[in-house]
Amino acid sequence: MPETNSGGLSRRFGVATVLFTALFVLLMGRFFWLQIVRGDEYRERARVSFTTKERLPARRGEIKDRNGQVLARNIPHYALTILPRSVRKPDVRQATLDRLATLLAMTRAQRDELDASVVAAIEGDAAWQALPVKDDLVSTTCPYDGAALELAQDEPKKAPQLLYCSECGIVHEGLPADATACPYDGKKLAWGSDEHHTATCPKCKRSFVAAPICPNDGTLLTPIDKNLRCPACKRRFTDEVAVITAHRHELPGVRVETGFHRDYPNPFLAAHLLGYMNLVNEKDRDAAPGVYPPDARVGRTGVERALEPVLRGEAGEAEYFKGADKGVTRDFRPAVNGLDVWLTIDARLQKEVRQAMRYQRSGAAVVLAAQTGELLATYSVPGFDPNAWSQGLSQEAWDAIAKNPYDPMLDKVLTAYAPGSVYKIVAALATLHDHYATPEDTLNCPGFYEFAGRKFRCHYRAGHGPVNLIQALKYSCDVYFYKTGERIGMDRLADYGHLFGFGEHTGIEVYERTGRVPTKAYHEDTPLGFQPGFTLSTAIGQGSMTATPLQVARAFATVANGGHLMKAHVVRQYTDENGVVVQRFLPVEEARLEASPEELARIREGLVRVVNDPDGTGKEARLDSMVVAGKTGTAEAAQSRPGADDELRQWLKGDHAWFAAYAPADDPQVVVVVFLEHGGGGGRHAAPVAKEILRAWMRLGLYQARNPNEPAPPTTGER
Amino acid sequence: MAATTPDMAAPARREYTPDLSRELGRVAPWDFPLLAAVVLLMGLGAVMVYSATINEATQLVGDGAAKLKVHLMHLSLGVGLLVAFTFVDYKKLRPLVYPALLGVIFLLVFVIVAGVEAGNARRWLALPGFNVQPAELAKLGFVLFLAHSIAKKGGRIRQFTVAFVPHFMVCSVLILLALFQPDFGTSVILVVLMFTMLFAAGTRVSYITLFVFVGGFLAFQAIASNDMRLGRVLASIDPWAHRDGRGYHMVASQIAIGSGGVTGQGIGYGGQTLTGLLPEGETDFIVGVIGEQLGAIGMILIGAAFMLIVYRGMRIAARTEEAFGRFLAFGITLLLGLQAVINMLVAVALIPTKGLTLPFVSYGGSSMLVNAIAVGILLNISRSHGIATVRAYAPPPAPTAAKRKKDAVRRQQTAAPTGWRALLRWPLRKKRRQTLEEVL
Repeated sequence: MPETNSGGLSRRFGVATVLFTALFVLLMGRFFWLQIVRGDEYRERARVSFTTKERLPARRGEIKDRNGQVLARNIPHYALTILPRSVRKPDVRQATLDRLATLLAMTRAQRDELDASVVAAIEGDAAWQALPVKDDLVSTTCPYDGAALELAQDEPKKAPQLLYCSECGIVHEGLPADATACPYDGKKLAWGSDEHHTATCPKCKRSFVAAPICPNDGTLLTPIDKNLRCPACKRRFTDEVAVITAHRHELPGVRVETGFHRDYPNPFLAAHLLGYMNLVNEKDRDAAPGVYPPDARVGRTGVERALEPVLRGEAGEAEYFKGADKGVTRDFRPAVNGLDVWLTIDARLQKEVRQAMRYQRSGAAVVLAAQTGELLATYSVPGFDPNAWSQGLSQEAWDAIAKNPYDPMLDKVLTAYAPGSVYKIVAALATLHDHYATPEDTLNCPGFYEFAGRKFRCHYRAGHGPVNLIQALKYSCDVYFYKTGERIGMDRLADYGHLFGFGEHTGIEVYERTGRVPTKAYHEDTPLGFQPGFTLSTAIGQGSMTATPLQVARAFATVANGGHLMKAHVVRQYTDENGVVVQRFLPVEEARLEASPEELARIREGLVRVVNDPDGTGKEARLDSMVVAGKTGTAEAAQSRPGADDELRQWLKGDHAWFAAYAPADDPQVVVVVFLEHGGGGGRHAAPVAKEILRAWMRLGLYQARNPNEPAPPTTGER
Repeated sequence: MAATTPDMAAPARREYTPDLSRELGRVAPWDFPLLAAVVLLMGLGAVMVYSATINEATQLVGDGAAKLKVHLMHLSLGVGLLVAFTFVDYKKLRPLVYPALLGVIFLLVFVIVAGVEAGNARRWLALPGFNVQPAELAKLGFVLFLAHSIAKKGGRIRQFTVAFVPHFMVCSVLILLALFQPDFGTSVILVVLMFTMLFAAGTRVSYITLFVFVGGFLAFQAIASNDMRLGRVLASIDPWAHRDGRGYHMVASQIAIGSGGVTGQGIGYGGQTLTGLLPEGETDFIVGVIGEQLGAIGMILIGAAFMLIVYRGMRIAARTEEAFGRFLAFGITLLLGLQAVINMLVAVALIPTKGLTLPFVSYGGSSMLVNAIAVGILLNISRSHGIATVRAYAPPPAPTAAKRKKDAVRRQQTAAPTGWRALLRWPLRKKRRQTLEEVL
């Protein structure tokens, strides 16, 4: 072949080569740009795109009573979801749903409904959103009563075979065709003569099938296995989680999502103390950044709230390769489980307190260990159901709570009210300690005390006559304390109030009100200004004076234990999930009362007489089995409330009834304070309740006789 | 310019200078660098195909090496064909050009009628145990046809009608058939091949420019008329905006390459490719796998290998006197280079998705075999052109005294065995050097 322009052609070959070289240079430049200049950025993008982070939730700690009885726990909760995207092919979808329906014993209608919603999700724009199939799969706990399920162990012959009809969704019981006796009660079976060969038991009315054909619609039945049994309600269940997991290869896109529900096994027992949980809000998430996912639940009140950081633990995190079967992990940080919180509460006593308070409309009762300041029981009426709150309150339930005039959500143990005469121990100690009167000095009570142009009446209009301190306590004579209070003075009285822990935090771990111990300065800030008469009211626990039942209990414990103002506490210890103690809380003495033993002994004598003298105000609380000391209180607290009906108005007119007691008088171990809001007279209404509580305390064997050789043990109330 | 060697400046019909040793220093009987580049790519390809498919194959088949085995079968078949075609005189292919072209057209029609559908395209013919992709064959067939036709027309190629009418007709038929599948990538390759070869053959640049404009308009029409193609083009302009749709492949590939960094994540460690986030990692987007696992080093290796192939190919073409061989070599080089460049440009998201494999590297039987045949032909051309022949009758360079002595020692040590040992040695026996007469 003649080539006339070989040189020219070579030039053109060269041009082609140069063009190629240019393309390669462009490519190399691009590689350089992607891999070296922006390599880090792409590496990060790659990490994001091929890995998925999963939160490993921490187990929330349980709350237990002092003996380990569970008060708040976590119930595992399994929800079944399906990802519509994974079953977008019609044949796959049909096969999956058929399998699912058989495994979960769904009816035809349920299955078709699910099918329709899956199709709707695929056709709509929600194919990537997991669709809930079933909210609570049965696996470990009974859905009816929360009891742990156990494996049913029947004799294989006796148990009827369970046969599931995919058409009607009924589980039939199958028996061999020659069976004659009902497997449940042994009665002779009546075999029907119809084509389906069904038999019925004349006694238990159960019906059985002989052939695996549904008698309703003729569908072939599928045998199923209900091998779990609830020990409490005797119902039988299939371990649905296990079944789904075992068949997961036939169920594309189907996932079992595991979570925990907070559960209070005895919801009304100590609802206020334990508190409840609900959905986390923006404020919580801002306060603790990164701690809560948007669907987290957080403790709202009580111990659940106060010890939230202890209980919640710390969530872990795992980073998986997408698509890979979760064995491949890039990064793994295990969750730190929350600690179990053991309270000082004794659930048995708590139950008795609840029992004692059962007829009260509104009020509180608290039982305190006199030597240590531990709360043994605390109960507020009316209660609420923390389970309802934790699972999301229905509108009706919320309305019922909002309309309830007795304020069910309020923990009345930690809310301040006018203490009335139980506060007289403060004035009594001030009188003795500051020598305004000796215990033997008598002051006359004519039934009233005229002061600053006003008559301050005693509750006994006829007057107690001349009374000394002990009698004044016994009769709860107001005039005696008007007179001494006037001498003590407002501010000095307030000082003594603070010595007893009034107007102060008691040290309890949960949120509490402090109440108010009025001083001159306080009154001068009010529009009315300070009036000298306020001192008299304060001396008998009226006027602006308020205190919480717990503060009253702490003050009485101080008197009872010889002047040790103990920090009130309700948390006994933290343990990890294996029960190993992580931290233990010991009694803390906050202050020592400035009072000589003799002074305290005088006051205690008065308190013993209140209960044990036949004319004492607290005689209703007298027990034969031990000597109880106490003080009644009847605080005038008549209120009006707009929109109140007659019954409510009647209730609001009533006085607050108080009774504060400790026992036994010679070896004080326990302090009981009963407060009944608008409950009437302290002696008539509150004292019997306190008596019932003290009797229960004795009956439960919580009283431990002190060894006479030993000094007062610091762990009174400890078992 | 690849051809700026001293002898290229010489007049076209050269007499071989007696300075043979100088020629021999530069030229081997086979174009060894070309072969080396191809072997390197094939080996790297096998490793990367394994790495890209091991997870998927384990999950689907239960055998991580399932796809690798098929690939190795293709590879060995390809190597066999490569060697065979190296020894088949390329001139003997010339009478087969038209039957081959007709066969290819028949297969392209057949694939439209009875092809296997995969994705949105129908590109494969199912043969027992083997799927054939006729479009791959069409590319080589078209190169053969062009080389033959241009060689036949010689200087008349400068004329408009001679240059364009027949080639354009054949090209249009092939492109139409390819678009029916649809296979846009092959169409682009065919058009670029035709124009470049005509350009190299000496057609006036103004004609080509005219056709480029007309063709550009037609291509625009073709793109705008088809939603999928339009989408791909739009996606290539801004793949990140379409990352959940048509831009997905490009974004995934870009991330894979980018995340490789300088040294890569290591063979078998690419998260993007192992988790199946980069689809078609073993075929069209194998560059992504290489980029992620071997990093910039791997990319430089691949780029350098293809540049070497193009350079050696162009060199072979430029040095071949005989016109058919010259244009065949040029066309084959162009075919290999274009496929590689377009594939890599797609992988780095500079041009829209095409559906082209990376020659010698990607998984895919048809592509592997066709490209192996092409390299075989190229090697044969290199082997048969003038300079290679020189070696046959050139006297060996005068050995130095030291070398002579060494040789004598070695001869003594490796004296030819006798008896039955001689039979064992028979395949390795020294052949008698051919005489010049025998060679000619």
